Amino acid sequence: MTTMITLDDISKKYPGSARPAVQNLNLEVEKGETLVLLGPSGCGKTTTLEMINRLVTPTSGNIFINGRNTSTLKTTELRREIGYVIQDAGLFPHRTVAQNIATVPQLLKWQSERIEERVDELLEMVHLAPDEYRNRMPSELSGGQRQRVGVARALAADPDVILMDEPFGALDPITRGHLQSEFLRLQDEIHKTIVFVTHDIDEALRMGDRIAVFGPDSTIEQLDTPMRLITAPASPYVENFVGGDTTMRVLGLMEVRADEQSPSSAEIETVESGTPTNEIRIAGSEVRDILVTDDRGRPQRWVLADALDDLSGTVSDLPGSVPVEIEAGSSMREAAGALLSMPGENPRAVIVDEDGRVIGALTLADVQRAIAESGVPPSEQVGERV
Amino acid sequence: MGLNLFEYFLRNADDLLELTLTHAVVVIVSVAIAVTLGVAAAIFSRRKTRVRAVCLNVTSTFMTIPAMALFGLLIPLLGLGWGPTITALVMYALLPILHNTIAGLDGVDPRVKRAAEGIGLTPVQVFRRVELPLAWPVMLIGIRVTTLMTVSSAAIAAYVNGPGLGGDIFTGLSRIGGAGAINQVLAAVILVVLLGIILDLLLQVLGLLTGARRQRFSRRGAAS
Amino acid sequence: MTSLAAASEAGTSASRRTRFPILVPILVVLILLGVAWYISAAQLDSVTARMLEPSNVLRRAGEHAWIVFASTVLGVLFALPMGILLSRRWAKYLRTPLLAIGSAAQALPSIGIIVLLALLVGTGTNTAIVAILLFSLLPLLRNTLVAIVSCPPSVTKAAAGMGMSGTQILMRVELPLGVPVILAGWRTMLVLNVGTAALATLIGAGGLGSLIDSGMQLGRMDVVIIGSLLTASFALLIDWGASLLQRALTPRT
Repeated sequence: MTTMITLDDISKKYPGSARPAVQNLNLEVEKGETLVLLGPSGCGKTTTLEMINRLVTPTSGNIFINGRNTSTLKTTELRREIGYVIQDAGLFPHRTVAQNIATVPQLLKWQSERIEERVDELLEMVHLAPDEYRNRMPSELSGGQRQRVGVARALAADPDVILMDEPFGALDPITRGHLQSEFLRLQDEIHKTIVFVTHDIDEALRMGDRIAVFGPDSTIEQLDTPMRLITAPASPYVENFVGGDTTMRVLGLMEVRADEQSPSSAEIETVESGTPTNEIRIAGSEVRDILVTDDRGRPQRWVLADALDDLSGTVSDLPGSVPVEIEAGSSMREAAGALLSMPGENPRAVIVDEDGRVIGALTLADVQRAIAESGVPPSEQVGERV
Repeated sequence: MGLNLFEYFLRNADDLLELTLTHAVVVIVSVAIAVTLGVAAAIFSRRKTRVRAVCLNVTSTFMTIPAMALFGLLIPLLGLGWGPTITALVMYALLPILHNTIAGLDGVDPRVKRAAEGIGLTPVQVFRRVELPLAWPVMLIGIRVTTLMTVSSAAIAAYVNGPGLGGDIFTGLSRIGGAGAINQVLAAVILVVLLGIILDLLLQVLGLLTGARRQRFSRRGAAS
Repeated sequence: MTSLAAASEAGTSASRRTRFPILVPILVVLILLGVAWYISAAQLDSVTARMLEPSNVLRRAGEHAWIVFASTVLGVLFALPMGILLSRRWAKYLRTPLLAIGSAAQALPSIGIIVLLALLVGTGTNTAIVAILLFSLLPLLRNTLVAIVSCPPSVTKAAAGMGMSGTQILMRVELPLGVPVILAGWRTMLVLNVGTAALATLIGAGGLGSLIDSGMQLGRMDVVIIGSLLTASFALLIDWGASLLQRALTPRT
């Protein structure tokens, strides 16, 4: 890992205010990571962010991006190399979606064909059909769409660094969730170095590779991975800020995978629909519930072991129940929620891949094992603190 | 010149005071009539988009007509003096009042109206106790704009022998090159502006007394 | 004071939106036809006939148009840069007192400025042009300032964050976004200019107002009426043209 951004002993004091907004801050952001600056309002996280692209000039200290001291660069040129997304997107209301996205490439005097291509590529990337959205005005977009355009605009000139200031803050919870997942998926492809400001602990845990928790006195209380932040808060302040719900938060950080994490996966038995029932009895020495799939491996229904006594016909003739599916990669928290809401003594969900094919199974026992292995103190596992 | 002007003021204090008061009366009468007509038209045309559009278009056309031309057209109908003066000034004063009354009434949050209906106020009560007080600050701004404008245009009315400070401006013009012409015109212009400032301050005080500021304050709070 | 200024401008811009744009030219054409019919059909005495001679009327209209054109062009050349300068951050503390003065200046009588200037520097067309533009500067200056200053901070911040220079933000974001408000101020200025131009005759600068004035002096009421109708028609037509231009130039948002 190489360092992309270095904040070296940065302070900012606004004239006329007694306390500095940021005080002797040292921070390194690794190339390709998402670093979240988390804290209550007024803690200096936005000031810190804005010092990176010099919208705010530090009172003292140096900032290096890619080894270059930013104070030696021309601010406009520096900013054109850094993507910038803010709350409400800050789109130019008098310019079309395409013109908005093309802002920085135009400032950099790209050829117009190249700009057009890039705009379409970016619109695809943020899931807005270019033909439909290219010529729309920002006022003709929903909040979520505006924010996608904001992200596309920040990515336009393919900057190495992207600064995001509460980018999803103004959205309703459902849209916010969608955009967060989409952005995570996008980041998997583009691997930018991202500094992300938020006051929302759940958003921080979800988006961040590392999280810097700002204290009320504009210093960093803890800089750690999401999991460490939950399981080993460095101070009562951090513990209080992260709040209760430890177990659920840990689950929220874990992805559902069809490997040793969910041992039930090994026990699942699938049969393609249309298979004669008597073949199953021969194949399996022990009679277990089996999962009937279609010809592409997508789950259709569970057939209980008891029903397999009827040997005439095929599995499709047997009574069964509709399986609950969980896509690999979704959070364990969602999976646990689904399992808990299922009837029966030993609920069991089917893990599927992106194409909907069965790749494993998950039970509550698997979830419990995952919690146990995560390092959450046992006392916290029993119940949730208030 | 400064001392001359001061002397001019002292020597003609009585006349100037009388002219200024006459000017004020012209303005107050015109604005009062315009407020009555404008507010009535705004309330009458509330849910009638067509009528409202016609009212706004007609009054904005009035405002476009140059004062000289308007007075010229009114002379055959109303002769000289107070008649054409007040008529023309009322015609000019209508648009800001009409427009701001409409804007003020339209700006009332529909939820507030529903709440008022919900606690059992009759439509008339909703209008008098909720809509009108909430629209008042915006209406007052319209009245202030109109008053300043009327103070200024009333000076032209002297062309049709209208009363007020404009007379001194035209007399000064006819004495061009003569001694004291500049003082006479300058004094009249200064008094017109002073009258405008005083009337505007009085309207601001009226606003304070009627609680317009409190509402504007909370409005601003909600916006930020 | 600022709120007063903004509200009054917003008021004029919204209500001046011509909803039946075709009515104004029809009205003007009817007036002109009526005037032409009267001049050709009525029995006019020699004095009246001389005043209403087409060549004389056209000359007066030409003078009127020149006064309006010159005062508007000069006014824009002065008010627009001044409004932009006052919108810059260093002018922050100048703004409030200037807007307060500007608000009180609304009470300045146009006729007073014209006469005063004529007394000070002499009569004539140039004096009239300067007096008229002094009187009408404020709406455009104030609207330019308000348009730029009220640009949403998130938008200017995003622009700066993407690496636009101050000039680029002004030219690409603040001014284009402010176009509707600036145009409204410009139109107010134009209407004031057309209206005040009718007074130019009083200081010997001619224009359509001189038909009204000579009609008054010589007791010819028909000349007064025709002069007034022509002056009003000219004003309506200019305002109508300005409304079309305003609509064409207002960016889609």
